[in-house]
Amino acid sequence: MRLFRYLLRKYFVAWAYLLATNMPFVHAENDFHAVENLVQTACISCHDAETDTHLNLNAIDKPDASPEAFQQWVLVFDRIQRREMPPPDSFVPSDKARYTALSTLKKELSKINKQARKQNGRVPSRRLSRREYEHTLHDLLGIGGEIAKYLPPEDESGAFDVVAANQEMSSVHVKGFLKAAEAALDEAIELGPKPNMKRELDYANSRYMQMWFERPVRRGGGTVFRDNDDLIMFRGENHNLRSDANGLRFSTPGRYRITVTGSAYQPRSSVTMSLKRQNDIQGNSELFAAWDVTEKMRTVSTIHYFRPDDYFYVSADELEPAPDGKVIYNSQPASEFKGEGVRVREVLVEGPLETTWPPRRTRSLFPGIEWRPTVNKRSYRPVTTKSHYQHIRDAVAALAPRAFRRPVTKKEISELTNLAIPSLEAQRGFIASARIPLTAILISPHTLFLTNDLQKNKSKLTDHALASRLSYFLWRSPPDEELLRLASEERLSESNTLSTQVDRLLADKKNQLFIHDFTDQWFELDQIDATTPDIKLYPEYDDVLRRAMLAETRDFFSYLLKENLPIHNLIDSDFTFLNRRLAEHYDIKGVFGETMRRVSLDASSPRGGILGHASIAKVTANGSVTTPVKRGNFILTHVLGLPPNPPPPDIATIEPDTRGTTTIRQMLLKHQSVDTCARCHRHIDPPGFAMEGFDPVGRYRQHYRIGKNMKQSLQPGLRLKRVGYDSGPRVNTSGVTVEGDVFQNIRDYRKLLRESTKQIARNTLSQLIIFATGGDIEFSDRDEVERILSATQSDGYPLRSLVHHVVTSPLFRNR
Amino acid sequence: MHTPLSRRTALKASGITVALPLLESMSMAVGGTQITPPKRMVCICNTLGLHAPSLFPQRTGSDYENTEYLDILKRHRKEFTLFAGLSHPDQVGKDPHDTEMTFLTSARNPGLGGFRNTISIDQFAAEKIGNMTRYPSVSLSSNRKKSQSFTRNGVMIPADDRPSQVYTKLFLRGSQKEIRQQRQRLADGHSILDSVIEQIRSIERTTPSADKRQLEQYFDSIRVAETELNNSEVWLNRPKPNVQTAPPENIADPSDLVGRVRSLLNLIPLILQTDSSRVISVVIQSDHGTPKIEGVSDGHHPLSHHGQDPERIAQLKIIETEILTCLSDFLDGLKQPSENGSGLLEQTSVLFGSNLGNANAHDPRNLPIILAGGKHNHGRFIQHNKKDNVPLCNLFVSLLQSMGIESDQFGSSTGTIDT
Repeated sequence: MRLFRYLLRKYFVAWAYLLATNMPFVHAENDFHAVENLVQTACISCHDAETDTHLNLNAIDKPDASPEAFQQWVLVFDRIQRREMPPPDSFVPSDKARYTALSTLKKELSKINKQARKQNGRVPSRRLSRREYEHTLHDLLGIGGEIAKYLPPEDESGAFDVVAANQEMSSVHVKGFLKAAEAALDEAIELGPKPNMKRELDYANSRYMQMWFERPVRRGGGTVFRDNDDLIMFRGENHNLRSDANGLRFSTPGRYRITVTGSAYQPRSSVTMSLKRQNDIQGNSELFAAWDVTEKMRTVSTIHYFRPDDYFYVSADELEPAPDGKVIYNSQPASEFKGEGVRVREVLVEGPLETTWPPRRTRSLFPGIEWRPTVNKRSYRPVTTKSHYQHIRDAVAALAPRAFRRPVTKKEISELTNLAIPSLEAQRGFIASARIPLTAILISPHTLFLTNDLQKNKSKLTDHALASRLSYFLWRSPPDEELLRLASEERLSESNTLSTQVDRLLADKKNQLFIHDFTDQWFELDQIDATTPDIKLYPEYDDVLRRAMLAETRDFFSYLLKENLPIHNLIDSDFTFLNRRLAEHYDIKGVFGETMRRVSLDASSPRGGILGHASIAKVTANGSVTTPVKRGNFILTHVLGLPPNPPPPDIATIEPDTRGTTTIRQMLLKHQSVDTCARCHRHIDPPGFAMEGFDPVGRYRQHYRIGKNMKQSLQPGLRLKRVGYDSGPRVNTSGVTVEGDVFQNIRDYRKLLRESTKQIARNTLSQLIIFATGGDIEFSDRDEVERILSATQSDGYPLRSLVHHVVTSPLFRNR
Repeated sequence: MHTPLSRRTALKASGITVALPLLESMSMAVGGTQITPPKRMVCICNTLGLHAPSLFPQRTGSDYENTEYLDILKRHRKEFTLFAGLSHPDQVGKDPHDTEMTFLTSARNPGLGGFRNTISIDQFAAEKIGNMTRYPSVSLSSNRKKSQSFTRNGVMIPADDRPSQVYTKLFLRGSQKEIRQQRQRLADGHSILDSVIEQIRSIERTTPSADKRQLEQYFDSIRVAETELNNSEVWLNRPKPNVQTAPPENIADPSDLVGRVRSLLNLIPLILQTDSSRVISVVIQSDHGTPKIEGVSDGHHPLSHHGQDPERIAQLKIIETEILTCLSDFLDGLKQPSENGSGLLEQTSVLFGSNLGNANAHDPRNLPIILAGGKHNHGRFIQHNKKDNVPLCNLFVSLLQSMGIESDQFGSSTGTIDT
């Protein structure tokens, strides 16, 4: 205390000076003194006008002056509360002074925050994000085509696309919504002739393939051959095996079942037979199914969505070259090649998978209409039983309540239907006229915006607004009939009902949309293709592996949710999800087949928890290299929810210089030797060091791969014989955390990270709240976050319970 | 001045022959009267910088010596100016490559919490002169749909990355039936948007004021969209320009960086000459994997972090040399005659630069900036203060003014720059 008084005296002169110059944070109310005292004694010597940090406390306004000032004070609060500030090597205030200042500041900040909210609620209305809009049109119209591509990309500065404060609207969006709605209706209204629903893609006998069978090797043919009625192939190329060139085109968009019978040809190790889709006009391609095959004939099938300009082809992956080193092209025909291949016996295509024609989606868009083929049988026409206007009115009355997610008044229905009148009068036909009001519904503000309507004289959401919020949270789609019915009966807001509905939504397959969108954005899985590793350095990285990597993280997260497992599993679990391909990648034995399944892990495994997932290693790598800075930042930001500050302004970035140094580790030591950098990097770099054991594609490594003196060497008997890299320097995965704990590798680090389980739970919960409500966690939300944490602490903050708590919390149920 | 074209250049440029004269469509753009040739703008950003020691000379002014990189551009010496010491202030962002978003906007601290982008210089120009052409602006990208063009409220305009699609959009005439349908669609669009406006009004009556921000934005956006639709309706009645060129092939392989860049740049003289648009932005993306160029064995991005390793710098320079050769050939393409007989380049200000001054350190200062064409006082190397950079927006303002666009201020500008 005496020291404190001494310092008070010492700073009195400065204090008086500041008073005289009308310091902005001089507060009318006395209780802010405690804060000012702390600032003057402990902060101002660094954070004054001369500061080289982001914060100049001489220039900061009162917290209620502006949202920016408020945010700065929240930051001050956090840094002091976490004991990050003042730094240990400077003056440290007494516990009492710290406590008094913090509680005063907390009271003040909460008051301001609540005041601002009284009027506006926690979150304003928001529009559907482009992903949600796609899911919505899929759901409303029963279609499957890409919709998001018509809309401009979302702002990337927030964590999630649903955060209202970051959402934008422009004429680009308006025109995009119009185009998207039109494209969606094009697909929904299918009046073409009934297609042949079962066809065979007969490679061995197709005329097009004969050309490739017969063409000599030197003219680009001969890479495939025919063996009786089977096709034998060694690469699975799009140019010769494409379905459209081999007589199979998709006449209409829809879901098709593809059944393939095939086997591995002269296999020596695992072989994958796969299906790939490509669209040269849209410019995209994907691997959509992959199966492990052996010499035994296997029949497998999958269902996938295609549009008419798509084609697909049977392909092969993980093929090993010939042990004798010979290749197909120059030395021998395909039939003499000794490398691994795939034998394709039969490819059946069924679909579009429709039970009626025109398809159900078209019929339900126009209830009460019969459809007959036209005389030339080239299309279907509506058979009307009442006036066109009345039929259009029926269509509007059926779609609008589902799109608007609430009952629609007769007046609204009439107003929308009336949009068709000029077109009907101009005799433009039933369908063309009906499309006008239907498009208007699809881009209506009632469809596009989640408006958070309130119950009369209350701060609670109406049951209908609650139904929308709930279904966009857990399904990313509009509410279904049951949710709307419960809302209309005003029963959804009953706690028991709400809780039952959460379980129902989580059990539905639409919950996969939540799993995808949430993990894509939280863990940046949507960035997996942002950089590509060098194919010579990382030849094992292919589409089959990429697919399994993503599936691991999604299945894992889905499992934590389904089984309500404690949150520490997120970073430290004794199991993960693997198929044969990914297990081989991880050097884990005994996993067979292409199906992802739960696999228990040894205590000695570097895997367990998402930090050991190859997907995370991949999204945190820069192409062919990894940097502990990026990975450390990932852990701090996404796992712990404690993002490091950006580098201070006007501090020169250290220029990496790898001459004379060999590893990134040594590069960063130089980095740490500068004090201003070290202040943050002692937080950032250690977690990154622990993850340095994972290469850019998520393999666990002892040595770096280097591409110098690159040789293509063939080593028979081993997977990945085409090695285009050398073994480089040893990887160092050890480090010291900012708390001073020493770790040797990721296993040690995971154990240390478990001490932060509560912070990880806090972050997970916060991410769920942001994603569910579209509003960032604000200062006055913190008490509620802490309440939920206390309520779930004894169970280890299990994930599903966290979701339940979010939905029943006032943060979710109020505006 | 006439510079003989190399055989290679001539071949590269041969994809862009245009049926002359274009005066007909030109004059329609301004209501039937022929006026002085229009001013045009092309902004090209190479997102991974240029290796500074190979670019910047020692001597400033018109007496500068040719460096390795300037040697590639030497036949255009009298038609461009090189600037050093320019940058946007406060570009420390969430991700060190986030400055790609702000190269044409100068918005501060890209990607940090609360960040909102601002209008880009091309869109600013398009707002003023875009209504004179079929397309107010064209945004191109070598890979993916990310552009550097942002609207007034910071929304990215998706880029076209497929030359064939750009070609179809700009030059291919639809059938009579298609045009009729398109016109009908525009008319339907109008009545749909009118109804949406009515619906927004009715919601707003029952919504608390603070909740209205997005609704109001939707309302305003619809108004803008309607004007734009009106504009397209006017253009729908006019035939698209007649170009005697086969549509370009799309290069599907993203690692063919140079091929992709070249095919995009090849379209630009065609777009300008037909006056389909006067404002074009091009972004050369970094995520192409290992570019297919002889002597390059790593990705463009990893090589940009060369760590001063001479072997890696050598590889980086191979890539950058190719990109600068594309630029040089592109400038040749702009030297062909325009509607009034002078070269297109004289009417077109070409800004070529990068959002990174030193990609090895992610340093967004001391950007490499080349301004070509547009009748500026060229042939010089102008060095501004390395320690205390001049805002790049000062150059933007000068550029806008030279195009006859009245403005004293853009983004973080503090004045103008002698060009």
